[in-house]
Amino acid sequence: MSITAQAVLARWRLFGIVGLGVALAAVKAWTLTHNQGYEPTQPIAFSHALHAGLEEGQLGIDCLYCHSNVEKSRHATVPPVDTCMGCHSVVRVDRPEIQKLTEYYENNESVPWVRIWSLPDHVYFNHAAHVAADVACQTCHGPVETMERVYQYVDHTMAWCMTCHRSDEYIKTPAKQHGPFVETEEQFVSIMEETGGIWDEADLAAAIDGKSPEEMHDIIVKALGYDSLSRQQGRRGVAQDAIAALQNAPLNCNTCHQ
Amino acid sequence: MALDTKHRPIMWSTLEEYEGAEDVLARSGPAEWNTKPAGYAEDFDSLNPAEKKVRRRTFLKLSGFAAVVAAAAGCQRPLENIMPYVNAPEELVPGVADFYASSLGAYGFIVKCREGRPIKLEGNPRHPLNKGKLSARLQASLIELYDPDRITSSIRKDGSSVAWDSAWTEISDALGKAGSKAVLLTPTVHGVARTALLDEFKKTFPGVRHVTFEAMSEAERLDAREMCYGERVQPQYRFEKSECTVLLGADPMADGVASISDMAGMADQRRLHEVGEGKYAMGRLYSFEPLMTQSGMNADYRFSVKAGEMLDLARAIAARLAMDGHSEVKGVPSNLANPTSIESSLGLPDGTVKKVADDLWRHRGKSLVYTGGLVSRTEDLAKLHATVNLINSMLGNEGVTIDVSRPLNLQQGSSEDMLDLIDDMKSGNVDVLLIEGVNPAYSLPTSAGFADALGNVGLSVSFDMIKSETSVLCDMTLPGKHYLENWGDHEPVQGTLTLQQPVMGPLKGWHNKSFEESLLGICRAGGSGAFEVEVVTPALGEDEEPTVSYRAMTWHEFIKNTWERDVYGKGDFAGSFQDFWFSALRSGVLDLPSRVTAGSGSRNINVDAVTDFIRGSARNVAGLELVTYTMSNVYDGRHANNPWLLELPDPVTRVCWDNFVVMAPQTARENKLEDGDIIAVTANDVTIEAPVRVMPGMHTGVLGIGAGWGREVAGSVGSGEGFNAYSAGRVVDGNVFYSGSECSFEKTGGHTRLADVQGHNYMKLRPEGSKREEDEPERQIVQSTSLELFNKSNIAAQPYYHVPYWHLGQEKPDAWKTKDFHYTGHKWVMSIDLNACNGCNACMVACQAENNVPVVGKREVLIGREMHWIRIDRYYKGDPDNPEVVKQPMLCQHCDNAPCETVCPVLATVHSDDGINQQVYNRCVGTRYCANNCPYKVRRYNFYQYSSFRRGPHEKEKVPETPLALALNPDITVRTKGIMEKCTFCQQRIRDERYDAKAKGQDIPDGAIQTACQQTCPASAISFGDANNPEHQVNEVREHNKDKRGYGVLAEYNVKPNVMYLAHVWNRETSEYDVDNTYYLEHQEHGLHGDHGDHGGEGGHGEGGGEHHNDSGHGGGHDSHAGEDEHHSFIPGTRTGVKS
Repeated sequence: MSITAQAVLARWRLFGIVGLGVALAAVKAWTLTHNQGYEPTQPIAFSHALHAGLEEGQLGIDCLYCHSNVEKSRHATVPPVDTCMGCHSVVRVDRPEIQKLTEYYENNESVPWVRIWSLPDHVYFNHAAHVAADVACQTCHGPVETMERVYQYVDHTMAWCMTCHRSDEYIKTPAKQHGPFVETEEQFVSIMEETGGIWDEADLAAAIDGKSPEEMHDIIVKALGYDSLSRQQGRRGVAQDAIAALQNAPLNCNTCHQ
Repeated sequence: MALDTKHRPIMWSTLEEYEGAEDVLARSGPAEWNTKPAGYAEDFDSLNPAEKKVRRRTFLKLSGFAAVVAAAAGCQRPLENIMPYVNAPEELVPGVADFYASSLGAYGFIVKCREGRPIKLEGNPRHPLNKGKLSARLQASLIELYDPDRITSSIRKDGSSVAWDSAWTEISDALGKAGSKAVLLTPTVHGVARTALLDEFKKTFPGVRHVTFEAMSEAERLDAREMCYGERVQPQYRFEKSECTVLLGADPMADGVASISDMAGMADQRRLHEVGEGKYAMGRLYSFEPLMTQSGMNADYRFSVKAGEMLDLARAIAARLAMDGHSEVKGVPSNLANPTSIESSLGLPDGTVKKVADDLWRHRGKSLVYTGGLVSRTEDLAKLHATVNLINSMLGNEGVTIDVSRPLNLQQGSSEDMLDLIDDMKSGNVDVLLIEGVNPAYSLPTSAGFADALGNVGLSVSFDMIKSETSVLCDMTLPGKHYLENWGDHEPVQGTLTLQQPVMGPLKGWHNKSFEESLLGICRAGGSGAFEVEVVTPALGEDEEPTVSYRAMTWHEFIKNTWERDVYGKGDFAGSFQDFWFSALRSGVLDLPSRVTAGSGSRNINVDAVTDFIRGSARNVAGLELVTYTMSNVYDGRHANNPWLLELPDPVTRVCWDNFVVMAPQTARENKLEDGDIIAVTANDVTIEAPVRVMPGMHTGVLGIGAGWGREVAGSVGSGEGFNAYSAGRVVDGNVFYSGSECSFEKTGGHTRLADVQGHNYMKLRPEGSKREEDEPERQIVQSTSLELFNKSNIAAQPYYHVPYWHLGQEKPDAWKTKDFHYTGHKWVMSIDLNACNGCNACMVACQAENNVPVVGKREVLIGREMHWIRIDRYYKGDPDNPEVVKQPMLCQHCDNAPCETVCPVLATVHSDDGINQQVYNRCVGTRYCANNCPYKVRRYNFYQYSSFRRGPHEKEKVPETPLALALNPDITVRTKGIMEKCTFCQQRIRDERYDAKAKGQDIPDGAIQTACQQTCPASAISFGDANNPEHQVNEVREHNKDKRGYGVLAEYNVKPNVMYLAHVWNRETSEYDVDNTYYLEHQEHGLHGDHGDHGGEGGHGEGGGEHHNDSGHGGGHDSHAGEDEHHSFIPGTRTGVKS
């Protein structure tokens, strides 16, 4: 039973090395998901703000125009190069970035976009299921329509997933967790203006008189001709029924860990 | 061997257990995981202790350093690219599976593709032969597509490459010169376009002779049919219509021409069906065989008869029928044989022949006698087939259970033609030999001399995809394609056309061209204009003429043209050809009864000719007889480089990664041999050194060797594994025979270890879960009884009434305080009918393909580390010299009171709200407590990064990232080292259907979710569904059987398993080993026939059950119960979801 001090030391050294290794491995694992603000340079300086933004001079293209599989597949999918070429064989062909794109296309090469949003391999995530539940793109990806260069909006940790999937917490803090929401009269007015003056001012005043943000939100939904807000319009909020859908969000481990 | 039932177990899984070997006993109970598993590699023990210590410390240090280095280098996030398509293929959505119909030879598939690559095969329900089911071999054929050993460009013998065009020209020139000295050697060719292509080929090179060869020749069956009925056709055997089936040295489940169809048919008859109030009936199966085969182990009556004695036995049955006047044809002489003397000379119990003959006659018109296959391949085989035909005609089975209205086009080749060809080759009469799809250098006896004869051939060409014994001898190899990459068509059954469509393009750098493409190329090089397509380039200017050029016709165009001409053109189809073509491709199968050409034969047997033919002495060797049998996993050897199949335990012996010499326990005892002792067997001047495997239930005068192993040139996985059983065959009178040779053996003194998995994952001999009453029968892990006993009491299994798992409401001391949890949503349950299961292993491979289950290699299997999520346990019952076999598929039981969950310190295994025992890989830290506490031993631990190795971590070779990783299912995590894993009830399939149903706003319909094992099961033994949805058929099965045949394995531990097994019922007389379960009727009227309610329902079982066993403790078998109170505090957390 006698262990010399040297042996004890040797043992501790051994554990020290192993422990350090484990700690650093944990750090590495951490970096996979804790990447808020990660904003890599892309091979082509594609601007989401220009294409999807709703400000003046921006194109306001629907997210689904390019990420067309998001309703069908677990992956939202980056569009094939020929989708870009659908416009850019004629549009802005003189710009250097477009010429880069054309070169890729003519060489039959894929554009090596740098991945920003990444989940570990042991996580199964399904875009289609979330879109079907009327979760807005911005809820997870942030205001992409304002980003010149896309960056990671939040850390994709499991705890963050659980903020929705633990439904009671979700309901308490919709605006905080789900991006911009119609909360003020100013927001309401600006949306109304953008949508092309569906109502005149008198109607508008009547419509918003004494309404809660949720009710204002509903009015917008109807004005835009949707049953619920989703897709591009969903950028500005989540319809009420989406909250109901999320109350039933699955909580089993094997929903995501398969 | 006399059986002392007091001390011998009724059910036993290995001979060691039967004999009470101490290490088997020590393996269970508390010491289980502390002791070495069975077959612990000795070489590890042989290391000196100091060295071992150093190794451990060094390992820790190194791993620590490695982690530091790797982590320090990786503190930055790795750069990852997203590479979109340039032009996206139509209809392809990344992340969504596409399904295509395709086919190969006898069977039709639905191929599941993700991102353009096939990842799973399932049967095509429209196909008449496999009806949606697949065998283990076909399930596994998927990974052969991605085999990195494939030859990827055309090469010469010396390995130098040759351009496809010049190779075709060279062959075409040689064929032109060879004239009639050219031969094309293939297996049976069927299918409209494939036959048409061969016709065109013969038209271009009129001298070419086409020889058809099959290693598993069925020529004798065809010959006998021609002699008996005047028509040379391969009948379809309707096992599903046969209430009394007799197998004479045959194993249709392993090597039947349509084995999937045979298995399904036999399972139909094995299932119990109710014929009156509380009375059940089922078919009966007799098997006479020299060794235990897969079919034979499912037989109600098994008798050991040597292969050479089979003809005598068949004649005795025919004579017995004739003597009793039991015949529907006239003129069968009763002096064919003397049944009584044959019976005694064969050592059969008195009256056996009479009993079988009477039984057959009682079921005349609904019975079947069947023979053929490798086991019965002796010189007598033609006579045996003729005799069997005679018996079937006497019984009026011809045309009923033997169906020639739609004969099979399969396996039409003969060994005789092959031997003629070898003679021609030897005498220099073959200048050019094109070999496709067969491997005669391997699958013929050494004495046939194929390899030498090939040296005489001027130009030999192989079209093999992977190097084989034959292809390395050929002057040129033009590597063909895997069937999933190639177009094709087949006609397995006359009038049933199937299309084969490629589901994957060639991988980058792989330049294979299919055999058919090569034939087209050769024909075109030979000047045939039939394979050219005119290409008209429009004129550029007004004055110019359009230019016309020609290009080679593709194989795809050839098929389409042929179908347009010969199928669409000759039928009456609505719509355009294009519509017809797409609908045929989509369904994969086209039924065209008008194409049936059979029917020239007579249903009346030619009695005189047959009785003359079958007389004469039978070939019966005096000494030891050598029998070659089919090992269903590797079949004829074509799958030798398939790691899934090599690691798949043989259905009968449960040994993987090897073949061996099987011998009877008595023979082994007399010669002081045991499993793994190496002996040298000599037969037909060939000596084979191989390990012994003692096989209960074998004839003492027989040694058996399994075919399909011993491929010298197979690839990096299969080369050199086992020995070649074909080599010991013999050539007699221009034909090849593999069984019935006289043989001798001697000990070599060597010993090896066989990777036998049956002793692993040992469930028995644990402390009993509750006290047993004195007169209560001994509890069994697997339950079986006789039909007679079952009909008497209607209870076939010990119901474990004190904790029957469907009695959830019953008050009972309970280690799991979860009674307040009610499964109000879905609740997934399974049921497995042991009568239907024949042990074919298809489920194991289907699970492997679906769930990315890795291969671990022989050395790991030896120490009990195989990873299969579902295994098939084999139990023997009774006397080792002639035992009965019961198979019990074992998978995670998803216990409501899962013992694994209470012991996990990190909550990596918890229950879902739909009743699934979940394993969360990223939470698991690898304590293995759960596996220790699992009574079923179904949890699998990754001791290494198994997924990185093609055949286990002890081989140097790592799996290349491409192409093998392409076969992985992208929806399933690839598990890493240090992680526990197990069956998930195919949660990914459940999830898909849940999404689907939610989107449609409806319930999940019955049958929408099929687990991978259930989907492929040729016997349809598995039912699966939602216990809370009355529409789901699984509830009917469970409800009907709960007090009759249903039982839960080890249910007395009160773990509440969610898999209900239906006890095995034998259609034979009650034997001394059958347990009479009426005890439970007498003692437990309350619990047994009360209102059981469903899960979560209130008790209603009377108090009898509760009182009776209140003193019986609660599953004292688990050590973990010592710390029960602590565990209770964990339990609420292990349940997720909403509690009601």
